[in-house]
Formats: sequence, structure tokens, C-alpha cells
Amino acid sequence: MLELADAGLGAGVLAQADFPAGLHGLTLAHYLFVSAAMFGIGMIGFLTRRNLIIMFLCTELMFQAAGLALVVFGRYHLDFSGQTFLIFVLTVAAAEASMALALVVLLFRRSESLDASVWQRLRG
Amino acid sequence: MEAVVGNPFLLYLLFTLGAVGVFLAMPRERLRAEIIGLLLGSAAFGGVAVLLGYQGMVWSSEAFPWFRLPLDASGDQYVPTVLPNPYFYLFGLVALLGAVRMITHPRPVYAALHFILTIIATAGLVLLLAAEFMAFALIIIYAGAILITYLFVIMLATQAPTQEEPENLRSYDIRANAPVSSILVGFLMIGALSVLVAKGVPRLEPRNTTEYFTDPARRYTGGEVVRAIPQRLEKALRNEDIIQPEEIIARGEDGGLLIDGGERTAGVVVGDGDGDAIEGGVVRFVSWPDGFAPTNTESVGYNLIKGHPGAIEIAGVILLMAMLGAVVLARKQIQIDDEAKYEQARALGYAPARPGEAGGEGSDA
Repeated sequence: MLELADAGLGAGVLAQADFPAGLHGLTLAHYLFVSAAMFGIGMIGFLTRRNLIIMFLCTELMFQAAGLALVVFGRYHLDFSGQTFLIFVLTVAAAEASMALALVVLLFRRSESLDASVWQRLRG
Repeated sequence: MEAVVGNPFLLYLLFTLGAVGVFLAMPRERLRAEIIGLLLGSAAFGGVAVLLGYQGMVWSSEAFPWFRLPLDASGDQYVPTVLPNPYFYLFGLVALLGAVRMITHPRPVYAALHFILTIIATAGLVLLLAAEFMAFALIIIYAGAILITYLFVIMLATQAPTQEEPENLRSYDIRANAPVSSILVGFLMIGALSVLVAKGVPRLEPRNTTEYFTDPARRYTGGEVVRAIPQRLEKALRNEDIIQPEEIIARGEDGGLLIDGGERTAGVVVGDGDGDAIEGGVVRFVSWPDGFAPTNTESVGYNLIKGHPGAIEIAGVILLMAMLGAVVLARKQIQIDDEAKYEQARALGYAPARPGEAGGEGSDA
């Protein structure tokens, strides 16, 4: 894969020597676009949906987008720390899911509804 | 350095199209237009894909000179000589459409299933980056563990459709909350992020790129990882009959293993059977077998244990605290009075005694 340097593809191309997968002209920007769009969609979902469970699902979507960016930056810098960090993101996501779902079950048992606006009176 | 997307206005146009698509796909009481919305969203994604994949090719600059205005006039033009990887676009399309469908589907179970689709597509994207371990960890942990928990709670807390009411949707699932302003803000953020990515990425130098491609000693061979697991190199060398069964990897004068990742060589010496070199053994240097490299899992594990040992402990504490917190929260008893219990039992088809009647059949104290 040394010819990549001769092709003058520059720093935008994901470095790929000695890595098995052929990335065929994909750049860091390709992945970051997908990551940004996924994060934005998750944010829109968090703002628009009123169902508590789906709101927490949207935070998981934003975790996914951040994890994708971590992996692709790790690949770009030829460092495995990005993938290691995704392990910690998964840990935090699992902890967040268990806490959030316990809260949702508690709130549902109190109000018999998953509507987030039921709890509007919580505002200070 | 090249700008990845020359003309941001085309990108803005496509994001506007995507925003309209997401807006049409939003749940509402009447005039549902999910199909049109998803088609518009796919068209926007296809436009961005074309922009990303082909905008640097020669035909675009000849046929459509306005197609890319280089943001950095002095920079080189990025001219891909091969077609971009089609799997990236496939997985990207599935991931984003699954995400859009997840935030727009009125039924929570289907939203969760679409999120699983997004996760699997993301795992495909990660797999393209040669990160096999993370790809399968995503599927196992996210799709297998976290999403199943979500599905349990969804099934616990939502009404199933019945024969009388095949839709049976709650009002909070049908009506979106401030869709116009949310989508406006969301796509403003996506647009700003994307243009920053397009303009900023070319200025971001990866670590020692030049040396990486030109200097063989700097190329990634995983020498550090192999030094941590010399048994694997020994086994590979024995399988290839490069060394004798009694030979082991030697240690240098400083006690470190004689493994050179840059030159892909290792020093071996005849061992005494207990993992030590025999007295006065002569070290000879052999090359690694062709294609021998630490796997992705080994490299990630090495990085995790070597680089972040404290963080693992903290992650363990976080998980323990989350488990304790969930138990504390979910154990909280909600008092249900006898009348409510009676109504619930009647709704389920039992005939318990009314509360207050002593000794009734089926009444539980």
C-alpha cells in the first residue's frame, strides 16, 4: 500500500498500510459526516419525541455517533485508544440505560404514562 | 491540502432537503407522509454521497466547474483513482435511515427495532475500519443487551394493539413536540458540523504520516503488542518451521525480549524447557512469518490494559453503582389500594371478593 503516498492523496485519506481492509478512497470526512448526521438526528429525536423511553433511545443514538467518531479518529491516527475509548462509552451507555430505565419504570408506575410533559411541574 | 467538499452551498441545499424529509416523516395525527419523507431523506443522503465520492473526479471539474470551488486555492485537488468503497455508502444509508425511522416511528417497539438496525449498520461501518472487536462488541452489547432491556421496558409500559383498536397509539407518541424548531436547530448543527469537517479535516495531520509511508521502521507492525505476547509469535514461527520446537525467543542484555517490530525480526535461542535460555546459547535472528500481525482484539486489549488500567477500575465502579442504583430505584414500593386491585383483577377475568368482604374466594390479603 506504499503507493498511496505516491498518489498524493494527502492527509485526508485514512492511512491504511498494514491494515487488512481496503478503504478505497474513503476519507476521515466521510465517516465524520455520517457521525455528525447521526448525532444531529439523535438530538432532533430527543427534542421532538415526548415518549420517555424513545428520548433515552435517542441519547443512545448520540452515543453511537460519538463512538463512530472515536473509532475513525483512532484509525486516522493509527492508535487503538479510540477503540479503547469506545469500550468505556459502551460501559457508560450500559450504566445510563440501567439507571434511565429504572427511573422510567418508577415514573410510569406513578403516572401511568410515558409522556415527558406529565412531569413538567418538576420545573423549579 | 484539499478541501473535502469544495462548495458548501450544495451541502446546505442537501441538508435542507434532508430536513424537509425528516419533518415529513415526523409522526402526526393526520396526513402521514413517512414514505415521502424517507425518500427525500435518502435523496439527500445520495446527494451527499455523490458529493463526497465523485466530486473530486475529473468529470465534475470539467462538466460542472461550479461543482467544487476549492476553499484553499493553493491546495492540491483530491482525485481518487478508484471508486469509493460501496459498502460504506450502503452501511451509511442504512444507519441514517434507520436512525430517522427510529425517531419518527410512532410505535416504541418499532423504534427500538430500527435502532437495532442502525447499530448493525454502524457495526458494518466500524468493520470497514478493521475494528472487528468493536464491531462485534457493538452488536453483542448494544443490540444484544442494552436494546433488549429497552424492549422489556417498552413492552412493560406500552399498550399492545387490540382487535378493536389496531392502532391504539398514545397521544404522546402521535404528536411530535415542536418539530419545526427542533429540526431547524438539529439540521443547523449538522450543517455547521459538516462544513467544519469539510474545511477542517484537511488541516488535521495524522501522526507521522510522511514517515509512516516512507520509513519502514515507523510503519505500524504491532511490535509493542507482540512483545507483550511472545508466545503467539513463537507459535507462529514453529508452525512455519522457522524455528525448532525447543527454541524460544531470546532476551537481550537489558532483559527485554529481542523482538523488532520495525524490521519484523526476532532473536531466538535454544531453551532449557522451563522458558529460560540454556547457558551459553547462541542467539540467531529470524524474520516473522509473512502476514503475522497482532489481531485487532489483541491490540485493543493491550491498549486497554497498558494504557488505561485506572479507567477500567473506574468503569467497574460506575457499573456497580448503576446496578445498585437501579435496584434501589426499582425496589421502591408503590402503594395500590384494595379498590384498584379489585378493578385490575376484574379486568383480567377473575372474580375476587370485593374489598371488605371477609373470606371471599381468591382474595389475597
